[in-house]
Amino acid sequence: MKQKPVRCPIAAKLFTPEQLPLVMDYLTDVNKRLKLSRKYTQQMLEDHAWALHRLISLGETMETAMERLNPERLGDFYLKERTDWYPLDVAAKIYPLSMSVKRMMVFRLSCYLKEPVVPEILQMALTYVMRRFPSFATTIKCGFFWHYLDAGMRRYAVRPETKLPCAVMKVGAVHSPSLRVVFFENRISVEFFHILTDGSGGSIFLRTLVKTYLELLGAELPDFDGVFSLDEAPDAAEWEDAFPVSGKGTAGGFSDKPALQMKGMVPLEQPNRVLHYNLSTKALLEAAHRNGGTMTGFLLALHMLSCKEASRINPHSRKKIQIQLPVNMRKFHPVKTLRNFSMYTSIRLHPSQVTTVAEMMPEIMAQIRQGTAQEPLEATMRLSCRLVRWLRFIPLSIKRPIAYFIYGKLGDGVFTSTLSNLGAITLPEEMQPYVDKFDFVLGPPVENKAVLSVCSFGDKTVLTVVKNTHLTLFEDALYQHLCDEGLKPYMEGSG
Amino acid sequence: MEVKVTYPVVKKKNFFVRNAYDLWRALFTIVAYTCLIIDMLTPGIHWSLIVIGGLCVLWIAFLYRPQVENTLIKKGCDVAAAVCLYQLLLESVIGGNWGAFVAQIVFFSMLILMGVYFLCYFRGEKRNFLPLFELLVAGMVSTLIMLCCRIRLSWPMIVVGSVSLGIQLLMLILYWKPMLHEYHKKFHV
Repeated sequence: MKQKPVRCPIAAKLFTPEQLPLVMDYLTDVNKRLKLSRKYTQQMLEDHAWALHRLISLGETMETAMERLNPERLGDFYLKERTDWYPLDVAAKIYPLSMSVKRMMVFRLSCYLKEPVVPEILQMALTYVMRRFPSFATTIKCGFFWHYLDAGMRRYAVRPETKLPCAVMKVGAVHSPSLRVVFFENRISVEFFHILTDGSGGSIFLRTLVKTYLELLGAELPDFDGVFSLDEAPDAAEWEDAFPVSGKGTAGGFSDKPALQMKGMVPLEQPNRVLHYNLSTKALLEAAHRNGGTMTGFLLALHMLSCKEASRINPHSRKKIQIQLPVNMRKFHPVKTLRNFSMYTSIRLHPSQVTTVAEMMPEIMAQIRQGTAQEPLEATMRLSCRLVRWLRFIPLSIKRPIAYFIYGKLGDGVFTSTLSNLGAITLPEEMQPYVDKFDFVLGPPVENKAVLSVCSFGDKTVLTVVKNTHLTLFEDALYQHLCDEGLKPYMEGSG
Repeated sequence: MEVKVTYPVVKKKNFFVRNAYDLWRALFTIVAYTCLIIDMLTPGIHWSLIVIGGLCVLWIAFLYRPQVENTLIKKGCDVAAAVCLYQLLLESVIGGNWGAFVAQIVFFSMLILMGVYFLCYFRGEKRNFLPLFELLVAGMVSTLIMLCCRIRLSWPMIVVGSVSLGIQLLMLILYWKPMLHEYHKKFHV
């Protein structure tokens, strides 16, 4: 079949007349691997032209640049019509049911490089990486009983950052993506609608993206655990719903009493502010051990103290400070899935019990041990599975308003706040010189006034507060408590 | 505590642009309540129902944007359903025997419009067929109920039933394999 000549006016502007024939041949080859809409095809051709131009301007030869941006890397992902689709996992089913124009469960993972981001190369890295994560290259759709993820035939774009983290995504169009890749100075961020994945899956995607980006810039990096090789075919186990593995047994653990809430009005625009507390991992661990706990236990103690100071305490009230602690279920079931596979427990203390870190630590550690044990978490998981089974034949149009109402009314009202610890993000030695740190940002809560997330890379731990009120009581108290423990944080955040 | 700003300055949109959806909703609610109260205080027909119904149709047609599957088919089907229900409401308030008749004509016209659009742009629209399918089923079921209950069928109702069945059959005859795949997706439990 005769191939139509490629139209890419931008190439004529970017390259010299001598280079142009070679570039047009290259773009023709790229075009053979694209069968998207005219708009997306044109944009992807331009992406290739820009990336080629950028690599050449960075000192690479045309041959090297074309080799790195080899059209074969596109595979047939953008060529054939995708018919794959993915039912939502058990945990994800609530997210589309409870979302609104201003409320959506989004989280964000960021990688800070040592050099400013090259957007053209990042765009190409994303283009290549998406085909290795087919369940992420999807858009949410309505079924008669449940939402599901349908394969999207589109170009996935990287954009400069213009909004606060975890802003609501527009997922209504035919091929709307359910993730967002943005960059700002030296930071690459990926924001995921929680229906796609959880923190663990997100971190694999981000690391794969960063590794591909660095390789396109010329870095030679080995394959390692925690990053997918783009040469491998995707494995169905990567998008399986791992929830049903829990089998039979007792079920329960959802209900809880309303928790004490921090002071402050929820503003119209959320999140109100994002703050990063940069700490030394070593110093943080030392402080935790000094107080007889783990890093999570220590941070929970500081979190409790800060919540207490940011709340209006009624000594006669029975309401407790209840902190939601997500737990990665992969530590019990070594599954390959990238989908949501975490449960949560609640750490509860009455304000009168919230005194000093050292005094609270034994109780907090005991609650952590009890709450993060396999049996109670699996009981909650089984209850989730049963709920989904009971509700499966109710049409979505009936389920949605009920779920929306219940989630809006109860939602996070049974928690004062959340502490999500993603743990240590690892990279191979060869990649470490390029990366400064990572951070992890939770989406704004519904009723809670602040939520905390933490992740570490090497000696850099970033504790992130997402605020939902103008009052500064919580972050001021947290800062003060960290300083009191000898851990003066370096503060970054939104203005 | 000193905070180094590491995020771009977010351009704040005008208050009215930022909260347009909430402001419209508030305006519609105020108008609806005001009409209802005035209507209750004055004698005569309950004209406020007409206003409230009209506001609902306006809302669905111009302001409501579904967060998932905000597509032309969805919008068309929502508007068709809203307009038909509004005809019935108008008839019950004003009186007469024309509401159901007009609603049926509107219904089959919209079905034909949506059906033709869907079949013409099948490749791009096949993933968005659920709202149309629901409308087709509603058309077929209502005709079937009328037949079973031996209610005399008016000609628009016969057209509604025939068009619903026809479009459904056409979908299956022309695109058997992809439609089966779509049914499998849409009706998974």
